[in-house]
Amino acid sequence: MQHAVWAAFLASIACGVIGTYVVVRKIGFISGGIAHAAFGGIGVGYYFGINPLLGLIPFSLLSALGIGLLSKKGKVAEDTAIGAFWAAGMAVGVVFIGLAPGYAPDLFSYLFGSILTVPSSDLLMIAGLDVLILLVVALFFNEFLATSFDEEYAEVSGIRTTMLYLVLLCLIALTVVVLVRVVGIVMVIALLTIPPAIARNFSRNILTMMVASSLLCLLFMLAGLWLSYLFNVASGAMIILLAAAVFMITAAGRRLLGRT
Amino acid sequence: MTSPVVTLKGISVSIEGAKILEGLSLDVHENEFFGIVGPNGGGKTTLLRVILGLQKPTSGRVTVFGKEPLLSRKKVGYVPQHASFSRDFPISVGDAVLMGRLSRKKLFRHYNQEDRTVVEEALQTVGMAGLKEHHVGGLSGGELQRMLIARALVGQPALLLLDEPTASIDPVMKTTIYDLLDTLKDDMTIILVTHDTGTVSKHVSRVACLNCRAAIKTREHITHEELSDTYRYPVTMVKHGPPDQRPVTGNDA
Repeated sequence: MQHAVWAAFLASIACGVIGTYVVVRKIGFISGGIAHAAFGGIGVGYYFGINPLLGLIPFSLLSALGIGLLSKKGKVAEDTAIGAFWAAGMAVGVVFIGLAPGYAPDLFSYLFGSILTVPSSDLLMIAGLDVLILLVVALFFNEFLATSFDEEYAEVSGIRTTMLYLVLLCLIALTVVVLVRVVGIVMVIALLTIPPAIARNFSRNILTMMVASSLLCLLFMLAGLWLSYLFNVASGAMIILLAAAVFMITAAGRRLLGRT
Repeated sequence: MTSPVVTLKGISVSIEGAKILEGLSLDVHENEFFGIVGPNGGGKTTLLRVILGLQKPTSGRVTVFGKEPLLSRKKVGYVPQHASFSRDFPISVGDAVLMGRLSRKKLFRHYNQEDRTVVEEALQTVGMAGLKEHHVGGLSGGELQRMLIARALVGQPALLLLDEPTASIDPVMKTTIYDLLDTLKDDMTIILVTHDTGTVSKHVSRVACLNCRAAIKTREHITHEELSDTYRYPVTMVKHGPPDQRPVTGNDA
């Protein structure tokens, strides 16, 4: 249980910070594509008998760069690039898991999350990824803000917008790795979008939005964990259901209050 | 004549088979206030994008301060026709204008007190000093355009490109903006895209009448035939004021 609380705390940091960029840049679908494509890395990890999270890191990074380069530099529509990587990554995962000898007992935990079974080694990896993500965001904070707010003006200002976009996609890929143990590949997109979308309602700037998103993320994880224990259901699904319910209530509340 | 800040030689631009600009050549000189008028779809915004390096010409050569446009961006300020950002982005007016200082920074850019002072001065210049802490989503169309002008000014550019900056601004603020541009032209070169043929002729030194091709005229030599030909629509000219200071006015084609 202690590991689960630590996992929730550490995952909520990356989730709130990177999720904020995902929401303000409206790239939720790309994040979903990276998460699903990363399943290939889990399959490769199983096949070679290594920690699937270690297979996940290079695979999600390559998927992020592939989607980013194809949509920015290649003459491929963004949703086409996402669709191709999304399905191909899943297919690679299925093929390698099929080829791997024996049975993959904790496959479900990567697909749908299993915060209660996070080992110490994964906690260390998640903490390391958090530090890396926060460091890169701190270094490029103003550049990320400028490109998120007005990409064309940022380019005119001499900022290398494509390079920064690829760096951001790589940070999303690393956040996917962080969140996989908590809610699983299938539901990562919800944690990257719902807490920041709620936080935006009462945030005056991007920094407060990041902090509020992280706190909301932590709240959803801990409350979802408790509810899953109470009702004896899967924790990942309960976390997402709780987040989605709060999102719908806040959206309805805003509408009732006349704010769009 | 001063050295050219912008040089275009035989610039043609085609986008998805449609010819937007054809064989355009012109020089814009230091401290010149240069106007570009023409109908919608005539290539005005595309021309600005070519100068900014955002649009590669199909043929021809463009230099800005003697270099490729991409290498001169730090000296260029830009006021776009429309705000391309989302109005629900969580950011204050002051922080949005502060981004105009990024062009003066190196890698890992961080703002200092001087940057914030320049932002306050720019907001005061465009009459928005009291709105610094306001959220951008709450601005009117005119306030938004003034904010974009302030953002371009804080970069203290040597070349300022404005794409219809007074389109949503009331007549009083429009006069203020043009008076401001008149003051700025002592320190920088200004290229202004507009439909406001009447006002522009009062302020600019030369005008390009652009409709795929360009006819470059000094403001004294703009004729209603020229404007009618550019807009492909009859344009009436009314001359008023003392005989030696009569600006050209045209209807909003």
